[in-house]
Amino acid sequence: MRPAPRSPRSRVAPSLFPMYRLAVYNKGMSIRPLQEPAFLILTSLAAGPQHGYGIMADVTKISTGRVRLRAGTLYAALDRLSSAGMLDVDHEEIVDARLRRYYRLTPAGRDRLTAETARLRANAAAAAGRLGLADA
Amino acid sequence: MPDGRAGSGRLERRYRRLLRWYPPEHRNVHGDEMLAVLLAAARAAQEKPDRADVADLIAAAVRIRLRPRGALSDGPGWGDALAVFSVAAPLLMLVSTSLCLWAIDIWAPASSGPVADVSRLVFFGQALVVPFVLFNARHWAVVAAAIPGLFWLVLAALALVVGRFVQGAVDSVEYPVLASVLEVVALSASPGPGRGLQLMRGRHWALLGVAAVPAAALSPVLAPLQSAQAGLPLSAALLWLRAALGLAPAGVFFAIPLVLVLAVLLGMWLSSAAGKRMAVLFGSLAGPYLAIVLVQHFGGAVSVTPVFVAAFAAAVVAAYTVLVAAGRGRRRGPAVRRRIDTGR
Repeated sequence: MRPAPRSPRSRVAPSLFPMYRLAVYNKGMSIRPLQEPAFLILTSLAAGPQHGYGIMADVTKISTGRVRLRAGTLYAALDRLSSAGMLDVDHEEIVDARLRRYYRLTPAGRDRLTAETARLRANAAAAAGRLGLADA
Repeated sequence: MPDGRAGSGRLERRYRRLLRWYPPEHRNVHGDEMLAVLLAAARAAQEKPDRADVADLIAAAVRIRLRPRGALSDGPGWGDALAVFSVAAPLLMLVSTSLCLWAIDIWAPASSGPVADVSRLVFFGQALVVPFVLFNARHWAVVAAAIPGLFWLVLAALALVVGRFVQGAVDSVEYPVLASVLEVVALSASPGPGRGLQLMRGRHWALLGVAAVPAAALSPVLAPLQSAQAGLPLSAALLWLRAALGLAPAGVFFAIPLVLVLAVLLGMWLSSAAGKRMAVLFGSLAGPYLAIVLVQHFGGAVSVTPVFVAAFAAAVVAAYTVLVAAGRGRRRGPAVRRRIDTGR
């Protein structure tokens, strides 16, 4: 019988906060294009650690108001991305008796965002070239 | 950040109620944080959650509940055991069913009626799960693993209407129903087949290959061979082993496949804590059939009825749930319950 292929995707490093990794997603997040909310969340965190509300506001700004993440979507995406090892908890604060948890990009998350950016850029360049747009 | 604290008492209660849509594991980790974000994003003096927020929260909660997640796999032990089982069980079923079909083709080609055809369908059902499992496509594997179970449900419904002819087919696919239930549980409650593949070493693959032979000998898929001798599946096992190993059909050899399967399970049980869990999983896959073979060996008469298999599958799933829930209850200490006092 064939020896077991080692899946590189399941090589998620044991986190300092294992309890944040609710869903152990071995699924093809590293192969499929990122969905827009995930892409924007990673983009937001590329500038530095950010808490949930900060990410929400930043995503609205990055997308020039087109994408408005709500809490449900945001935390579903954060949970998924941290399960895939793309982000991790940076630190926590209590502000006005409320928990504020800061997330940061992991090296794997940075790689994934870089790859996704290259893919989108190549597609955009191809489209611009064929449409005869000035900046092709 | 806008001041969302005005009128926040009622709003907070309403948001908390909405957060109950989420599974408790998710709430324990993100609940307070989500509440803080929802309240921070609220307008001044807002008392009711936004409709869009309500829809978004409920939709996300439902999606999270539908996600295959480590519900049963809290703690590496059961999660890893289920992950390995999710890879090994379909492979074992595939190899042992192909051995059975091969035996039927050689020794009882005339018996290829509806029953053998159904066995073939079941075989293809298993064959469908294996590539998905090997390529770690968990969602597709769950769908493929559920097909034999759903197929049996359709047959059982038909049997009620049409009668005996289909009844034979229903009886012959009971075994895959149990496998189907257990595989779906293992696939959806474990970290996934990728983890299973990662954990499996050369000796595990070898054991799987070796165990497939006695498993095939005990398999009810060999039913068409039973006309040769009375009793199922012992006589079929005997017939198959006698021909395959060139052994005489005498006394002690009746029990060879049974003893081999029991030995493999015992070996697993004794090997390690993870092995013990694997033995429980594989034992529940083989359980009803081992019991029947034993009873028949001592002269009793038992037939596997669909109700028996369905009840056994339900009991096994219930037992897993209780076991794991108990384990989780013990582990969930103050560290996970690190809740922030929000004044409630």
